[in-house]
Amino acid sequence: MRRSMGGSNRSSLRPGLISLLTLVIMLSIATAAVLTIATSHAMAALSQRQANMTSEGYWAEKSAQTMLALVDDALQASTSSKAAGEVKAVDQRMDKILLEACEDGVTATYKVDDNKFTCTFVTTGGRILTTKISLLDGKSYDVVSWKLTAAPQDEGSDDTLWSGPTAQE
Amino acid sequence: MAVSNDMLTQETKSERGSRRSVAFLVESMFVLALLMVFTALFIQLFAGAQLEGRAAHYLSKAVVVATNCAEQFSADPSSTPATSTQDDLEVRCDVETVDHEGGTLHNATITVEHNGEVIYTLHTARYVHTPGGDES
Repeated sequence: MRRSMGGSNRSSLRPGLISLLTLVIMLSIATAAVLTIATSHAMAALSQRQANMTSEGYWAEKSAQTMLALVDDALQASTSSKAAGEVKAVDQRMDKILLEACEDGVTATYKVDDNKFTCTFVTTGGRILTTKISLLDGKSYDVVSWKLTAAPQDEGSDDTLWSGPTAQE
Repeated sequence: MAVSNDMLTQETKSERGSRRSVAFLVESMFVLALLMVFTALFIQLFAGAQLEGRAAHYLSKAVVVATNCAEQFSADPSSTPATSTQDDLEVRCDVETVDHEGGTLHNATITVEHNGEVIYTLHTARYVHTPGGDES
């Protein structure tokens, strides 16, 4: 601080030019540091979220593949080689199959439509794997669809931004 | 009398100059101390941010590399290399097979490491149906 001893007896302290310059530089660096830390935190959070979502997608995939193996086991163990009989045999064991197939943090439900089994695997983080298997004659099956999606984050919102091309017609 | 006044003025000027130099010295010391404290603080902050950013960067890369490996495994479970290196990341794919009545279930654990440190692990599986029963 510069001590001013002007014409009067009263003395005053005022900062020098170097002090002011240092203060401005320090404030600029502090702002840059805060922005850098905020950016790195955001990057880390985003990467972690991406990693979690990927892991969960593959957990659901693993559960579904195990379910497929167990359904095939049930098919091979079935006494009937007709689709209707196979559906009945698999349907009887499906709850046990899903219980055995699901990994930690994955829950599964299924529904039967004709000879098609639609199984839905939901992870705790909101990844949904929907598989549709069609049972065929001769203890065989066909994977009709295998779709991995993410659960909508905000289900309570009524703000519809776009309802698809059919709604506009 | 005039000589005495001049001497007094010179003395006052000299005293004022001495006070100024002391004030400048104190100010310099204060600024220097402040500079050192803040520099140490900022270096720590920037170093932490850089480490965190680098970890995030490697995690993102590891996720991509692990996903590539998982897709390769899914396409052909039996021909996935056990170890490989991509972008300074070591990828290890441990496959465990479980025989079923209708085919084989391949369980894979994909681990991505950087300099011996595990960054990311992925678990996946692929069921391969064998027509006509378990022949594998």
